[in-house]
Amino acid sequence: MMGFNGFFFEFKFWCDFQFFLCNMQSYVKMIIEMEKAVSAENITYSYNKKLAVDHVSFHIDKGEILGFLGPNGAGKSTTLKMLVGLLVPQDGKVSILGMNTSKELKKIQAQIGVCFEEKNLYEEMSAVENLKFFASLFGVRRLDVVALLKKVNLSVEKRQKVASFSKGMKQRLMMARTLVNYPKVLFLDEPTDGLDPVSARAVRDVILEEKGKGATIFLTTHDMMEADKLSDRVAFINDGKISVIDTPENLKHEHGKRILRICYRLDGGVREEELSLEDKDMSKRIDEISSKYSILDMHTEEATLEDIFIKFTGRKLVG
Amino acid sequence: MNRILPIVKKDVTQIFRNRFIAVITFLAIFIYAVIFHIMPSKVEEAYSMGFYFEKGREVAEEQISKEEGLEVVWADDEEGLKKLVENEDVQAGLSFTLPEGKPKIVLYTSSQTPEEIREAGDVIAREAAYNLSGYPLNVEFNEVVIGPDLIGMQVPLRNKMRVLFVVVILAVEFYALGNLISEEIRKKTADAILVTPVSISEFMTAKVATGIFLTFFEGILAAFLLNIISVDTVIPFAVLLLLGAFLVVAVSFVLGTISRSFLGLTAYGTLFMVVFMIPAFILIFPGGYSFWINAVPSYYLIIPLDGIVNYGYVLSDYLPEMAYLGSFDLVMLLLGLYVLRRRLT
Ligand SMILES: Nc1ncnc2c1ncn2[C@@H]1O[C@H](COP(=O)(O)OP(=O)(O)OP(=O)(O)O)[C@@H](O)[C@H]1O
Ligand SMILES: [Mg+2]
Repeated sequence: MMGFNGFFFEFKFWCDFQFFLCNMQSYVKMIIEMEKAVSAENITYSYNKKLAVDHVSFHIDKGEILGFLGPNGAGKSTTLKMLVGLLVPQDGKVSILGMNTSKELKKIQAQIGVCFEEKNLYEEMSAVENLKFFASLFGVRRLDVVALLKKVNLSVEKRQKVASFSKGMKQRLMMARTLVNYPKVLFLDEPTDGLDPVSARAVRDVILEEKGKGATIFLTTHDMMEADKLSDRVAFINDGKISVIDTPENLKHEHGKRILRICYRLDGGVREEELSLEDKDMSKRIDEISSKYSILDMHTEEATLEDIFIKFTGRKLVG
Repeated sequence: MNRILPIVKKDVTQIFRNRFIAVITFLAIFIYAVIFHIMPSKVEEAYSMGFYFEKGREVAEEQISKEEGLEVVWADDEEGLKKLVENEDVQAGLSFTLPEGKPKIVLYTSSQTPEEIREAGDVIAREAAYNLSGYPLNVEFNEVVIGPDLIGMQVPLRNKMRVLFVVVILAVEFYALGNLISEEIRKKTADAILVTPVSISEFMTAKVATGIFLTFFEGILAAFLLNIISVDTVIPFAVLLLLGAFLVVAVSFVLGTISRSFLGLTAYGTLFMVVFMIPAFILIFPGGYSFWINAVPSYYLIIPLDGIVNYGYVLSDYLPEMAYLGSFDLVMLLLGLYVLRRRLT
């Protein structure tokens, strides 16, 4: 009897183990999927005949900031709108926090925060009224408005209408509104566009603070400095297509050339010369210059994301 | 529901924070109430009367000219007097004849003449007869109404106008609600709402609720100020108001969706408002009636309103009108919801 039991146990164990192995691959896949807060597969959208986003795929890991970098009209906002469920992708699919936007949109929307490019606040209402209203839509009853306003560094009169706010104040309020439901994933569409350095800084601080708390962030921008500073990875988008996604460091290391800039006096004027650090003849040229002319300034320059963007897309980010 | 209520609350706040909308809404209600109360309830104070005297016109002229507030027109014969009354040149006509030596007085009134005027004419006539003959008992006194007899159906202008006022106040909601919807779309605040757990259906339901609530509330307020509400009229009035409110909401949905700017909204709004109000003007200027007015849906709101408020009719007298209005409400509302949903997706 015991022998049979033992055999049975062993048999069952091996069956289970076999089963486990077979499923290992899908488990791993699932775990990887679970680590992704956002994933977009082949998403496509065209307005009438104009193709705005063309089969774009990417993912964002939990707790990661993905900078979506592209010039005006590249398709950044259109992509964002598909991610948050305002536009339905004409092809492909989006899943957020493991849920498909075409199936569980309202469940997803309860856990995300969206900061729009347009400052779509209720202008005739106060900051507090705006925040409380949006909180109520999420079923958040007790919103600590004071703490939230403090977090985005916005000080306002209680009854002051949003219409009388400066651009920077409105943008800070936009950020505050994005956070009323304590979202796990943030979608921010050019949140620092057109702000003075102080306001932009305030907004960036909030972004980093949220990341620190574990939030996942999709950040569109055409400010390469911002993308460089804030993003864990950046995606270059142009004409509705992503040309590359990588960390800013990798991009600069692999695709950017580092240069040495030398200024020296020549014939009573000042001359500037760029030398590639990868160039073997560089030191020879430096010796040449230093022996003939008096060097005024000499420094190395790293390629910027802007340079790399131009390299990839043949287009400037701004203008 | 717990997501609809906050939107309604926000919508109402937003509407009244808009100064233009707040002003036109409440000013309209207030001004109309004032106009109503300063308009004469007895129609016209100056009284014009035609006279025909077979004999003794000189004596009568002297006597009658002493009457204050009376405008006198003299006719040359009985037929001439009747013509005066018929053409509404005078509000009443009095003839004094002496067939077979016995004084005979006839008071002519038009069926278009409000009852109050007829009563006044009656008093004046009796008084004049007494003054002239000295002994009223011997006088044969007749009252003749020219035209179809609608006694009891005559209503002072101001009572007719209050139906117009109620309709104007409803129509002002075209702007309020149309602007609310158009702003949510234009300023993209609708997007901000639609990326929360609020669905498009909830968003639109909230808009319908806001519209019905406001229109209904303003209609009732106006009705109070215009003395429309009584124990008998309150329920039929409320029912009609509700049907009217749905019409206004439905039209505002279309209006708010198609107008791309505030200017467009006011232009379209005015157009809709004028069409909406035409049937109410017909109440005041019956001569302006033409057949196509039957095609304007608000006609089926205005006719029952007038009948119930001014003539004491009841709802069951207007079942066909209400059925037509109700179906128009439904069709219009479906259209409004359809265009708005298309705009939001
Ligand atoms: N509602 C619309 N109707 C028609 N075309 C549109 C609409 N919105 C965007 N587009 C077009 O789609 C393309 C992508 O626009 P999108 O707004 O996504 O760009 P973007 O990267 O966000 O640009 P920006 O930096 O200016 O915000 C553009 O060519 C734009 O003209
Ligand atoms: Mg954009």
